[in-house]
Amino acid sequence: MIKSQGGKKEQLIRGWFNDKHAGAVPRGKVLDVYQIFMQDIPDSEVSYSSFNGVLKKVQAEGAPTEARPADPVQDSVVTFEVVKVEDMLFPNFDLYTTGKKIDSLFSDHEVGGGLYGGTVNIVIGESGVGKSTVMLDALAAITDNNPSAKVLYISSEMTRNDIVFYYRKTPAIGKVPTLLLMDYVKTGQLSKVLEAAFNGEHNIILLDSYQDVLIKLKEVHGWKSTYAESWLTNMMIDAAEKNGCAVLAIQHMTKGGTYVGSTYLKHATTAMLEIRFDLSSKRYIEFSKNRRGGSGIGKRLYYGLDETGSVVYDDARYKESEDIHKIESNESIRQHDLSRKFEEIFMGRKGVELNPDQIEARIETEEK
Amino acid sequence: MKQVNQEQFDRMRAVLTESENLTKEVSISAIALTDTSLSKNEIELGGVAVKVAPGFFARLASMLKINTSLTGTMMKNEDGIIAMSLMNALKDYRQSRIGGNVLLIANPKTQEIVDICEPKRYRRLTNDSLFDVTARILDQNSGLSIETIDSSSRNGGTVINLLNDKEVGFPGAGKDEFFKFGFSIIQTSKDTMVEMYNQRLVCSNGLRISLGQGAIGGNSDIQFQERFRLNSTGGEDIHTFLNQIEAMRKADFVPGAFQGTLATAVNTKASLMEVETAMLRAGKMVREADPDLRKNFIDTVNRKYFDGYADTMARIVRKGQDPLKLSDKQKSFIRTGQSIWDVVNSLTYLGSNNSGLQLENKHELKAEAGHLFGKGTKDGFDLQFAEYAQL
Repeated sequence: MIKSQGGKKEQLIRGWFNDKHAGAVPRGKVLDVYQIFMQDIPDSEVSYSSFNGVLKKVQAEGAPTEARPADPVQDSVVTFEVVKVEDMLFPNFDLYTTGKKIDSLFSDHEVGGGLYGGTVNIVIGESGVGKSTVMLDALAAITDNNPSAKVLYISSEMTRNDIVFYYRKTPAIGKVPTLLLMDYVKTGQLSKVLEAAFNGEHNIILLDSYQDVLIKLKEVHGWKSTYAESWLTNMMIDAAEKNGCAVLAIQHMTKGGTYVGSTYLKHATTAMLEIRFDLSSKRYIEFSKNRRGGSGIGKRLYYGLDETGSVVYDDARYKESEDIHKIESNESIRQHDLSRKFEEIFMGRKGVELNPDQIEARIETEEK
Repeated sequence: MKQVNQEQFDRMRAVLTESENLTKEVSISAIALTDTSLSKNEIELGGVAVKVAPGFFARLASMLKINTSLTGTMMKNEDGIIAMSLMNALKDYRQSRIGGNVLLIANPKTQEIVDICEPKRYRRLTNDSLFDVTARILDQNSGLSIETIDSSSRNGGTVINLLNDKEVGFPGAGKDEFFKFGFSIIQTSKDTMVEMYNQRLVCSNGLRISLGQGAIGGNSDIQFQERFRLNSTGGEDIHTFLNQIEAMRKADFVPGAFQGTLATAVNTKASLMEVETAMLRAGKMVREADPDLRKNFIDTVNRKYFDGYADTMARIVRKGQDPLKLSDKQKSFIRTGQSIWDVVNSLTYLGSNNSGLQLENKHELKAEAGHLFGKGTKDGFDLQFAEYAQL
């Protein structure tokens, strides 16, 4: 058995080894073992670094390693359910509209579009391009258009003083319920506050920003990057999947203009909205991925701010962009058709007709 | 003024879409040349024998960076086997060192491969898309209309000439001289491009202008390119292409250098060389197959539209010189009785349908006239500065 010694938390960890693992150190990654520990004793308030220190100490004292892996799932019988999609039960996905052109980019399943509940949307863009402004404007517009919708803006970077100046510049955000995470950094309650916010009754949550929350989680709780990232990502996904919440998470970009963040997050998201400057420094938004609005992918919606600080979208330019996209798609189909006829006449074989998805993919490849 | 109506537009679209050249990107290793390729005008494509048009091998050789005159010599001397071996070797070298694909262009009617190029060198919309783009331009510019759609049987090229309804006059160009300006969308075998186009209202003859980059007369702030091409068929480049046309629209499609060039063309006598070049170009387009009729026809064209040539030749003989011994340089110093503007108008008249003459691909004379006119802003007309000759 492992000796019970040290402070209160160390004794708690040593006791857990004895009670749950028969006086041995569980096999597996320290992070995994820590997660199991936290599941067993959620109120322990033991940080990952403390746990890791005690574990190493116990091993140095000669404690044996458990003969089997720590993950209890591995030895248990795995059960899973296979269901036909038509037999699945779905929640009623709410649709939140802004009344602005951005609705048609958010989704295309209903006429006019809008932001669907039950989605995780990542918003990326270089600094200064207006990620927060565009998203807060959308939230304010949703509040106007859908009075019953409960929206929440979670800012991890701005203090009360910062947000006052932001409000003066963009008064529309004044009506958006806001949670300033900076208030909870010093108290060490960051993860608890986030959990409560994401598990509350909010219909739409804007997290600003994903990257900064990760940094703060690591600093406040001593978590490792991978743990903090999977914790936050899973919480966002759960909020969407279980609560039907529409999550919008602002993410930073590299200086080269590419997405920073895990592939897990990228693949788990419903949509990825990019806010960028064009070559003439004009700002536009463009979806590079959208499971609710494939027809809007790759189309640029330019915007500016009016005298009241509201975001104004350039609808005419968007129409032009749509027209050009249509010409480009048709041209791609026609070129493919000419190539197919060539094969039939000169190479004695029949070509394959492309479906619309393949054509989109081809345009994307050509653009790259 | 005649205009293309919707029905004609749709009909031309159907005809040109039907006759569209076929294209296929293939690995260069899929093309094989045999000892009999040259004599039979054939290549093997993926193991299948395929006919190629005259000129295909020269284009292939050029793409493989074989000296053009060397290729010509080898083919003329019937050294076909050597030429084919050389091309095969360079083709294999390219495949192994550079890799990549080539684009084959074929005529579906003759079932021949007519051209080969690097895929990225092919920056041409399909004819169907060209009509889509044109329809969009017309929708957005109510003042524009299609004057003519010219199509060349020789190289599959198509030219859509659009004119703005605004009539523009220039001081010093004659009180009856009014013009309409617009642009031509041109489909060559590998490119889609735009050139300025105008029409002289007194005779309704069109002129494809080529003046170099110009600004609108009276407003040098608005700059636009008067000749540009589509860089690719991708959305970004189509957008840029349409934006360039929009920049032209803001200037009412009037190139700034036009007014000055017109005044110079009216006041400058054409040189013997300039008249002769224009005359030969027009003569080349006489379609008549019977050599006697052809000669008579050319004589008629020359007498009627390039009268300055015969008069000048007679003057040279009267002076005791042999005109046939004159070099091109000497001809460019000899003044004719026709002004540059007269020669330009002769070419545009022959290039229009008004002349009623049986000329092949006559609309190309509109571009020829534009080149002569455009000399004023580029190299200068031959005798543009002749008044300084005695200084």
